[in-house]
Amino acid sequence: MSKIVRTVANQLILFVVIFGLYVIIQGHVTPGGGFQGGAIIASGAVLLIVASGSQEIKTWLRERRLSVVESSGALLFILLAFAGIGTVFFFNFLVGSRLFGGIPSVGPNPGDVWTGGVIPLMNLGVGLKVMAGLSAVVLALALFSGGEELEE
Amino acid sequence: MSTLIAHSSILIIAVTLATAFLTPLVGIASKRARNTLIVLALAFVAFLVVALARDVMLNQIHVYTLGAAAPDLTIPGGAIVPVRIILEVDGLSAFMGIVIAIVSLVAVIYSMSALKTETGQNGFYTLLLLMAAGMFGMVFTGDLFNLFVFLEITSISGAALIAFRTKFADSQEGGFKYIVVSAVASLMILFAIGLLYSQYNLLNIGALAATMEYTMLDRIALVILMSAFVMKLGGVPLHMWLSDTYSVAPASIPALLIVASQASLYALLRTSFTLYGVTLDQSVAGWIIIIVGLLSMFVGVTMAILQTDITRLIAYNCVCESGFMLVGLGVGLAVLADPGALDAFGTMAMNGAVFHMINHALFEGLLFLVAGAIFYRIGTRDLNQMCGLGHTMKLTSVLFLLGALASAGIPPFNGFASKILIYESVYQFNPILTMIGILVSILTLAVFMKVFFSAFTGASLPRYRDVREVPRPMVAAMIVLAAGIIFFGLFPGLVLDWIVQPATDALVNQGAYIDAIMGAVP
Amino acid sequence: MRQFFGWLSLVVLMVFLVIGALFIMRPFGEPPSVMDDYIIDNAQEEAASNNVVAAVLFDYRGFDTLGEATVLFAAVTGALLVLRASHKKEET
Repeated sequence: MSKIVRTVANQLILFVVIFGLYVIIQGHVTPGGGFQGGAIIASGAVLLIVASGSQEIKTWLRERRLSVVESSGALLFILLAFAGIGTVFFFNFLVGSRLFGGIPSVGPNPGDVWTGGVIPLMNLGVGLKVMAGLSAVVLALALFSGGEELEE
Repeated sequence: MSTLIAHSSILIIAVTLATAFLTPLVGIASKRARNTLIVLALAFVAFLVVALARDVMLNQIHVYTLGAAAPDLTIPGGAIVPVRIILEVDGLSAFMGIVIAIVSLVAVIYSMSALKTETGQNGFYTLLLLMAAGMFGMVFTGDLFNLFVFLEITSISGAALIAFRTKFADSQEGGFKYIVVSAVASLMILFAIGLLYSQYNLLNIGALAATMEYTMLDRIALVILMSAFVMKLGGVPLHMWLSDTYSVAPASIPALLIVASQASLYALLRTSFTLYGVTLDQSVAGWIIIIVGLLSMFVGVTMAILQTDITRLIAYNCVCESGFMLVGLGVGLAVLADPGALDAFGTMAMNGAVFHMINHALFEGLLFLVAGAIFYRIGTRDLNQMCGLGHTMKLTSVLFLLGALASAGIPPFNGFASKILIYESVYQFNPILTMIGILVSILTLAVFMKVFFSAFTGASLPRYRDVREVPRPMVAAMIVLAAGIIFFGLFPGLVLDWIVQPATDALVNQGAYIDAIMGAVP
Repeated sequence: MRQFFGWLSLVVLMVFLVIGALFIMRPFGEPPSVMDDYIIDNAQEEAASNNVVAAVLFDYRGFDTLGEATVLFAAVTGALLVLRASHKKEET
């Protein structure tokens, strides 16, 4: 693509990432969540691939590294679920604790990020996973359709 | 120990999933560490499955409410229906869990030496574990939507595993076929679940069964669910994908795919016996299942005679064997409402069919592993290219004969033990069914004798002079299955009493399944 | 021609099942669901989350979300596996 497109894309990517992180972190207060935020960030990766071409992207972003991030996100999710096994698997053990432990009053209220127990952390795990997974697939398909051989 | 058993149903699924997520990370660091991790995790899971199965068979149905304040708090205070996802393990689920645990452990050990030289092993083992986790989830869950989710996991990872050998065009085609069939089936299942949800606002199988009214909408949902599950298990009008996918997958994967289609059979049974159960028009539904089973038996075996590709031949034999299970279970379903007939032959027919499920997994798994071993050494699946392999691969040929005889129902192997139960009981229901069954068994024997004589006996060809026995881990994996075949054949009474009878009782006793959910109101 | 009639009968059957099901379905939201009411009343207290949808996704039906995340994981792993380089492979 032309230099204008590349420059604009490089500036825009910051906003895309910030918006995606916002959607992930605020998932338990406002509409959104890990899946949605991760998909937004992955769309930023698509923007970069379209603007600069997969050949340039692959010098610093490879699908193998992305799949490591993806596995870590999935592990974070399942470990958070495991952590509740003192009571029951998937028990929301952080409600009332120091970390994200606030309990909102029942009914309409202004909302607070510091609530939700494990939900924000799980959102983060899913967000990492979806972001890395979708970007990896898009990158792999872009490289593959360019006739590139992927690494193992 | 009691805490471990209380949490065992979720640990079985979650440990397998967590290992799958860990595999790519560990695999980058070291291959050996990855392989050790996988085997240890699956061995731990197998131990948990046995402990859970023992607990379920001795005591009562195991329930586990995810995320509640206590595992057995199925219905929270202030509600009259279950809100959270509940895992429910009864005799049949525990039985299926044992089958899955055995076959996935054997498949992993076999793959470790069979695929040593291939690229992409991290992805292979990740998907293999995901598939095992998906099957465990399918058989342990008590929630319809959760069943759908795990069915998706199983089919997507299965499709990628079938396409693993990317250098062959037909394996990519096989993977594509499998994903298309799975997508159609899962969408149909999702639609049926939506229909049921719109009707009752419930997703829990036990709670749905308790409120089932059997209206027209429920009938439509039943038809869609049954045809989708028959499609996934490869019953005859919808068997076209089975031979194309099983034959091209790497050797250990068809053994897992057989178990995956049995998990679909499990879902079919859950739907017809537990979800609809007493409200169902049993004789019609039973006869439909019997006819599908008869067609599968007949078409499967006649197509198998024609094949010259060894894995395609075994795949058609799979269609044929699943017909036996469907006939046995269909007879059981047809007489479900008639206690006299159920006692006289219905329970026995279902015993035979359920027993045949584990036997089928063992001997078809063994046959596929043997076919994989031949492919590993000589690089072809074409029977016309094979000759005299028995001279150099002695153990493999003996193992093949064992699997073939078990499949044909020859005593003293396990196939005989389950088929004789089916023959005897089905004869009292309708003698023609038994006659067809025996005819099909004879034809199966003919099919396998053809393979045995053309592949293993005869003059040893010069180009196969230096073919050796396959590596030890592969032989070990095959011997584990062969030992199972002989053990189950010699002591069928033991197996029947310990794991098959509880499974059949769980199928018949719909009330106990419902009470485990709905009866626990605090 | 035979193929055409095969497709036609399939389409008619599907339309019959789908449209027929839509006609006899109950109106949306009827009867009032006990499960939904329970979740709406208790989500803020039990899951400590203002967003009831997030509470359902990660608390009440968290296991389904784990499953869906795993579906995506399997799809990505499978896609990378199928698109991998095949030239390093040796004969099996």
